[in-house]
Amino acid sequence: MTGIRKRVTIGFLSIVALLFFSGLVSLFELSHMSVDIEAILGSSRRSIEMSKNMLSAIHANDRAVVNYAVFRDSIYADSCRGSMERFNLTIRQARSESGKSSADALFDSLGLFSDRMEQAIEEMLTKESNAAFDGRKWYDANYLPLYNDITDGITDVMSSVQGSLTPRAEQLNLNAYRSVTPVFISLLVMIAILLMFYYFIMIYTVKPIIEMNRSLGDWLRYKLPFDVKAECRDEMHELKEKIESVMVGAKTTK
Amino acid sequence: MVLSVLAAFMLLSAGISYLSNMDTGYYPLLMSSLLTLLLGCFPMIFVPRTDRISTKEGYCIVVGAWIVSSIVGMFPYLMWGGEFSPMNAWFESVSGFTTTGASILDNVEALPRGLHFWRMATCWVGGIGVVMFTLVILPSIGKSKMMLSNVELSSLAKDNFNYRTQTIVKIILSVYIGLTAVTTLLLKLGGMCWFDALCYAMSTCSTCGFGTKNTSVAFFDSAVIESVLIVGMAVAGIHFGLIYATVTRKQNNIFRSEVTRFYLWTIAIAAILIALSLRKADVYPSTLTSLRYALFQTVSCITTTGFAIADCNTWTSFAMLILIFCSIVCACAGSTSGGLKIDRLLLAVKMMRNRLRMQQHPNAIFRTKVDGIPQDKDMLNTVMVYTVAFMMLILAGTFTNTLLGADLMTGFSSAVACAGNVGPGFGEVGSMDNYAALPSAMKLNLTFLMLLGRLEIFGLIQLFFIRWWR
Repeated sequence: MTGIRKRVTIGFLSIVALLFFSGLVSLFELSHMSVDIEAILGSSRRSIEMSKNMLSAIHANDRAVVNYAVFRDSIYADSCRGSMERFNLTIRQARSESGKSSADALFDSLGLFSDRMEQAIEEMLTKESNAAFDGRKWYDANYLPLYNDITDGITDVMSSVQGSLTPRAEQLNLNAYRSVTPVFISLLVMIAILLMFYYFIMIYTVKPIIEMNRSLGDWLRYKLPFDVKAECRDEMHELKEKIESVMVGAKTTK
Repeated sequence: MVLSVLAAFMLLSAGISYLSNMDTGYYPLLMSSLLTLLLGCFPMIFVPRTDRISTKEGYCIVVGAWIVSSIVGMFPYLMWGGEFSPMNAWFESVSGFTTTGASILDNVEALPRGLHFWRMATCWVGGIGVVMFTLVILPSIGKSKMMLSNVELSSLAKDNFNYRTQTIVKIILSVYIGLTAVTTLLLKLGGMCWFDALCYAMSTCSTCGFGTKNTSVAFFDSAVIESVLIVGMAVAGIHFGLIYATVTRKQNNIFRSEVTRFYLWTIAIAAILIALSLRKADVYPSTLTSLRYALFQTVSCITTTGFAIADCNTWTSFAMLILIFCSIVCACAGSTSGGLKIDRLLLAVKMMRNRLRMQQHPNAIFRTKVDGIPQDKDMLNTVMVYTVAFMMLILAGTFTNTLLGADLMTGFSSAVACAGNVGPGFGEVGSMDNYAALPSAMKLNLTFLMLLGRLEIFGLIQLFFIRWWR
């Protein structure tokens, strides 16, 4: 493969390679972004799930305590302890899954409230046999403040975990700009190559053909000398030389 | 062809990134390398080889090579991201290729190793001149090379050569590579790690001033490293042909050159004056410490390198003025330094002396000589025209900078630092600061000054005249 065909093929191949390259880069960057988005969504989903579990456990505990202490329903004694254990388990799980050192203090205070509540429930369970024990009063004075502290604590933990996702989302926004840059640059390079390709084809192929056509027409009509410049050592140059040979041949025959 | 060389350097930088546990610079450098190679190889398929290049084409090739290199040099920065916005990437790239060494990076140390090496490669390639690579790689031999060197090398520098262009290229390359290798070795022996030693050697020999640390050379706080750099910078500021002649023990060597003697004397006097001023103002506790800082900063400014071991903003006004003078005058022609060049100052001084003598003896004929060789009138005229043009460029740069919001000191010193390809100035762009905080329009103006300074003003300006193209 030589001359014009080689050049045109290489020109097209370069453009195809750039298109393929920019496509590949965008695919690569998009898959990276997709993984990042997946990670952020996963973290957000997990944090919501964790908070839901903690709230559900503490609500179950509240129901059991109300039924046991206020309505004196003794079958809820085991539920009081069981739901508390479930709540403690959800805190431990949430802590291990969050893996964020900044949320540690919040989990610590949540653990502290949970311990206090556990202690208060145990005290209530031992006092309950006493006829003078006023369950409603105990609920309002001892349990409810702790319950409120715990639900507030859960909200804080959730806000903290969700808040920690904001910088990651901002980074993602920055990465989106960065991921567009290589594609943008390859497109610019492609435009530059296309312009060069157009220019070179015009200068080294189209222009000599037009010149040869004009000059050949002039020779046929007015016998003007065939004067065409073909700088490239390719088929165009050969064609020009062959036309000149044919002209010389035609002159000699006459 | 130039782009292919740049692609090779990008690939080398990507290799360094790969060896540094595939740091974040790897993919941007690799991708940039591929794009640059494609962009560089494409015209080679179409454009026929020619032995004859006209002066006009020579100008276009040199100026075009610098501008295209600067554009392509942005690719790795843009793809990496971080502090590099499009304007910052353009500034950093132009600063590298013109060996200015002015940076927009607040935190240089955050860059991955590959990108550090690329920054150094831009100034190293720029230092030797993109055109030198074109001359070496271009297969055509003959007139074309001389046409190109007319633009790249100062006309004064060219006169010192008595060789053919091909030999000149070989000489410059051997001196450049040799100097870089020796400086690397000495810096390593001085206590730097191999990577830092190579980076600082590349920066020293190209008189660029890019560093791998936020506090430049002050980070190392080592007298040995500073001494090596002082010698390295000073040597890099001498005509490469003379260095070659000295190494090969030829007659026309450094010690016999009047320009080199003038250059070394200027350094010595400037350093002593600064040291005395600093000592008198009690900036440093001892005369020796003052001399150490003064010598380093003087050599750094006069060679247009721009390394720093002290915050010169805290120095006396007298010391600042001398450093500004050094930033304007700069080192010898035929070196990688920018600015006015000390050769022109020497000629200007001699012409002034002759003028005074002519007024005393109106009928006498006085010839301006350098190294005993009389200089022709055309050459002297060119020197004076260039000197005036350079001063006007600084003035225009200062006007524009102040118009764009800079204070007088920052506007003036940044214009001097960029037109002279020095790098750091005073005010907001001091030796321990950077150009990050400047507005984008001012950064663009400064990059234009850098290119004008590097291409000796007329090389770039000529392209803007329509009549010239006819």
